[in-house]
Amino acid sequence: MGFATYIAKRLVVAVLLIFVAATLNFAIVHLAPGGPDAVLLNNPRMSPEARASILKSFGLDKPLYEQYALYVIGLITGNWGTSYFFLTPSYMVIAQRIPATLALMIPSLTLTIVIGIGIGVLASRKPFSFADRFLSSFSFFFYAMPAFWLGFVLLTFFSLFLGVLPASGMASVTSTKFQLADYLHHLILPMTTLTLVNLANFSLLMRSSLIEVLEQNYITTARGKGLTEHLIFYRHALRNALLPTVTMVGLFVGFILTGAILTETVFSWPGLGLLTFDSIFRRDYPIILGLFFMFSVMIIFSNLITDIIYGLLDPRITYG
Amino acid sequence: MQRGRYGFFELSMKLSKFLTVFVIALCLLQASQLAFAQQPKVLVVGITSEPEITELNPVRMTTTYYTAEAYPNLVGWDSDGKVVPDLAQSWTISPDGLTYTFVLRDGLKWSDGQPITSDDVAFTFKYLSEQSEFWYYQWTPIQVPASGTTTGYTLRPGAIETPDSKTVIFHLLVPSATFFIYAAGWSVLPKHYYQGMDLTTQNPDLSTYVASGPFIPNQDLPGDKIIYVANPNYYGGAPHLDQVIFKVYRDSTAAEIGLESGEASFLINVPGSDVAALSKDPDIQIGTEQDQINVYLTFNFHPKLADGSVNPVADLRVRKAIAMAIDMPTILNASLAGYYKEANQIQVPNMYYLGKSVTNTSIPNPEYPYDPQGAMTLLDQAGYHADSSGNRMTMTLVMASGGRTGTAASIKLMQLIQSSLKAVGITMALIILDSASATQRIRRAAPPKDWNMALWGISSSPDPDVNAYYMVSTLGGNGDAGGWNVGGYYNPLVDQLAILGENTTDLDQRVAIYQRMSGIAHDELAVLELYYQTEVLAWNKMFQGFILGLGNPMHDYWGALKHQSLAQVTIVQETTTMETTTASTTTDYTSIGAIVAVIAVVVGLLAYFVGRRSKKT
Amino acid sequence: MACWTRESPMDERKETKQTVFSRAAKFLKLYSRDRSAIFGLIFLATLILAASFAFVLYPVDPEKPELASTLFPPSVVHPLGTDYIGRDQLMLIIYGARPSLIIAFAAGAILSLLGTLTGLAAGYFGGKVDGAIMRTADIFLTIPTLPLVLLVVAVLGPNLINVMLVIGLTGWPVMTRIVRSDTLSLMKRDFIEIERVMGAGIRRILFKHLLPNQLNSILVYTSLSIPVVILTEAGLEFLGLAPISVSWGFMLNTSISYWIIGAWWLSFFPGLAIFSTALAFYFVSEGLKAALNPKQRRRQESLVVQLAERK
Repeated sequence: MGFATYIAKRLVVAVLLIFVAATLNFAIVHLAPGGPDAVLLNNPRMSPEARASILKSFGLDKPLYEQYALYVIGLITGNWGTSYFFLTPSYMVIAQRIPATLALMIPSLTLTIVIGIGIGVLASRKPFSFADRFLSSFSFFFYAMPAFWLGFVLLTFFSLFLGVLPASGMASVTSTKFQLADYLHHLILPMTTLTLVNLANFSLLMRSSLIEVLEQNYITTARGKGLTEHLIFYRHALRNALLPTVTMVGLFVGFILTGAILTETVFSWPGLGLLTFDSIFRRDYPIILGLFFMFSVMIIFSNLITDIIYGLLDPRITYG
Repeated sequence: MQRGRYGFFELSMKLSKFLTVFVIALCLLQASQLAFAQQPKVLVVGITSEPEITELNPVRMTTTYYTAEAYPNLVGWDSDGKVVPDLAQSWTISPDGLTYTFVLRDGLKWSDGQPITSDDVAFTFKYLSEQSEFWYYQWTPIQVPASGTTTGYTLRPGAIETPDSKTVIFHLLVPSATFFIYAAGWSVLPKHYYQGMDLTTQNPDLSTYVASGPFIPNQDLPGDKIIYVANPNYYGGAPHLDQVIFKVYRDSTAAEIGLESGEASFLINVPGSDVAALSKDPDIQIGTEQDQINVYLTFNFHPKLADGSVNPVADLRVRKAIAMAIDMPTILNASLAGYYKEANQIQVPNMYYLGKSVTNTSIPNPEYPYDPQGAMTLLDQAGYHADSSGNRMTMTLVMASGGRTGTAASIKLMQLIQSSLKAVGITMALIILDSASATQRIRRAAPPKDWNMALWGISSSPDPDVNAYYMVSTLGGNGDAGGWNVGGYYNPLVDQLAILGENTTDLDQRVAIYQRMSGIAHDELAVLELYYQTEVLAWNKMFQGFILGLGNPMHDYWGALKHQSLAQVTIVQETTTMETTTASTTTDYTSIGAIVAVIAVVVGLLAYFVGRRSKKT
Repeated sequence: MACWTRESPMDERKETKQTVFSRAAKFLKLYSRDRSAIFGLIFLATLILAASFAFVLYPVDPEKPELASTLFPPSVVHPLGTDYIGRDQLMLIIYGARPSLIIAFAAGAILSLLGTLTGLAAGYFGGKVDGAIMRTADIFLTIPTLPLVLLVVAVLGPNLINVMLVIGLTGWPVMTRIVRSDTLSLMKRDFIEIERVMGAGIRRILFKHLLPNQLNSILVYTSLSIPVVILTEAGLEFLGLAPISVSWGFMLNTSISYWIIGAWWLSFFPGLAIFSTALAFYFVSEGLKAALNPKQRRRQESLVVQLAERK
């Protein structure tokens, strides 16, 4: 079958997957103790009328299957319910935090890819040399490190001890509009933490695929033809070795979310990770469900796009 | 095969160029920090838990932490507990206790320039009676049942009279002991702003918020901060500061770092154990306010637990033994570093009814003397004998990590109690849950519950009825699932006394009722009292003028941030406010240096060791 | 690169008369070529021993406070300092190794078992079964792990069993893929055909041929997924959902409050413990990989891709 059919098939499967994931989330939320009712009906002295009206306003007086149907339709139409904590529509709360997370993730991701690939390239020059071993161990040294611990250590050192970097937040307290210098100042520590912890994914991958590529026949042939090392490296080896990295970038969206939660918690960065953490601990179910839905969609579609790009780049792939 | 050093040099050159630029940028940033110095005059209050958006909603709020700055009341309470004028310049109560008359000051204005009149007062109580399901009961004397309102009540026709724009007259049908406090001490709302707004399903729009206090909420950035701007129309004169910002920190440590670095100016809820470290900073001033928060251990009173096992603490002897096994003064001091008051009864010490203290002075403090031997004897008498390893019984104690009772100090306190109990043969499993799970398990679960003891707390309004009702009565379902009497303690006499107390107005009689209730609760060990919370405040000396200890009839208050106090706060030195200063801690610098060296060595070692001896496989 | 042979690799071994001893010796020789793997193994062995005999080393109740010695910095008497109720931190680290190790091994076993069984089934039966299993695996991969684990543990309660189960049950898809692809490539070999022609039952083929030939790689990838289990569990505890109060992640959680006093050792050493253990498992898995699969050239990226997908 052709490329288009393959993608179409994958799309259909993707949609189904999202649906099942969403159902799973709904089940967890509504079937566990301490469900939505308990969260909302906080006040012991609440009158029965008030109880009823609050449940009604959140749609919790309907039978479960009806709530489920509304939930599914709502996910698609963008009506993700009203947050219990914020009393505003969930999607608004979530949408408001997206820029903050992007503001952290995009620089981190870029830096991780660039440095990671760079390290991988450097390490692959002379495999098992000291440089290689140092760089590789540097990578998984930080990979095995708990992100929150690393965040702490950096925070203690640069913020508490040296006092040159701020301890929390995305911007200084009194700033009302976006100031680049201030933002960068706050960005350094969380970005460094995230980058260091995720480096290994790219550097090790790059290194091993480069080593493997450089041993291929066509490289030897190219050398035989008399091409300069420089040319061989950049035009042939690197390009081919980059392919698996593309896969990695697609998967990276998943790591971003895990990394986001831990890093944003340590640095009080007001993004999606912090929102996830807070909402889970506050049992703010509409937001939790909306967030999980969004995460699933992001992951599935980034996988899909990765597949597409990979398919376009690698002529060897066939679709059957 | 020769692998040339192609590009290696170039790549590393590029990398080092990049790094140099980065470092220079960092230095520039540090310099540009001074540019931030041209600030508006801002007081940054560091808080450690994000307030719910409903806290700015007069109908749905559960505390007045965030409205005390914005909404003056009819009257206020000064640091000595005396009633002083606020929006009302004078008031009278008729001898029969059925008529309350308030006269407002001249020239009162809302933040948008509209005049504050008696209509606003009348509107406030009608509005809240109909919509505020949390607080409507406070004004029962002027309410009648109604249909179609959220609460099922509305204002009784004729209950509030407004003969002119400055005079408000409340008419009661029967005298009420608490009406004055609840009515005169409540936020007065603007009629022209809230009229027609259904606040049970939506929140007021902060950008158009109207209030009368010195600082009005203006912007809420969830998870980050709430910004209050100055209101020049405040009756006490325009405040000296431009803004008050409540900044949310993850925990007290982050807040303290914020204070020391100059980012935050004022902290509340500072743990007592951190005071020593903070005081070392010459710019920081520490102050205390006495809260009305009572922290205690509650017992499960059902004879059997959820799993059917026998519940030892249902037996009074076991409860007494537990009390005697704990050296309360020592343990409290070790955990709270002196910032607390030892508790011995259900009413907090600064609880008065019309100026007379309701403290039962015949209850000893500590409640029971530290006597582990006596405790073990009691346990033997109750039938819990020690086995070969000294163990008599196992129990569970549930606590929340986070929230009012869940600080690091509380965890430490519980762990110390745990080991005290171990010493007399009681193995206490300490279950630390997050706030929501703990609330679910301790309060919302249906009896019989699955724990023996729980760490709990309550904060009172300045009326004894709150603690009495919520802590030890079963009225209104208070002892069932969702009730505040989470252990299900039941004594019909106590319930009767609670009802009696709410309906008595005679000064001496009422005080006697509550003292008697405290006595019974002590005799039966309805709860094991721990401490009364002392609120520790820390602020940058640059800000002066705080009045500590201002009263507020609501549950929770930060006296120093009440509007009368905030309006007076000034900045005494115009320094570069946002300059980051090196934190002065007792960090051992050489240790840190040693650690950095160790890390470098470790990475180097790793590099040396990692890697195969030979590539060939 | 398929080996065109009638025999399974297991039979090969029998043919060359390799005894258990000589195989073990060869294994050790290959393993010890990687110095880091040796160190990892030594570290883990020491840790496991210390944790198992914690009560012998420190015959006291780990939760017992010693108010006289609170918050001492590291010294000769207390090499890692004492905590906020005076307990020696070295003791706490050793006792704290237990929940981490238990969860690491248990969750690892769960995800390994589940992954292997589903992978075998997917590879052997193919068709609809394969499709169903892989789609289910995809679902688990699309829900981000940490938020899901957080939610489930927060809602169901943070006890040892829940944490073990949740981490194990969210980690199996990785294993499934590996086992499935191995099974598929094994299935292409002649000896399976022969078995089938001879009428061998499913059980025989699965458990006598398919599984034993994959034990090596299963072991390697299980040990590779353990670091992530450790980090996830530490993350859970750090965020407040600790099964036991004497555990590394929870020690990190409580250490934050004592920062301002300068008690850096409260957060440094538990973090170091988590980190070293994760690293040790990683080294061991690398060593196992070198030792157990010396002849098969696996595409390296699948290793890291699996790594990546787990985190």
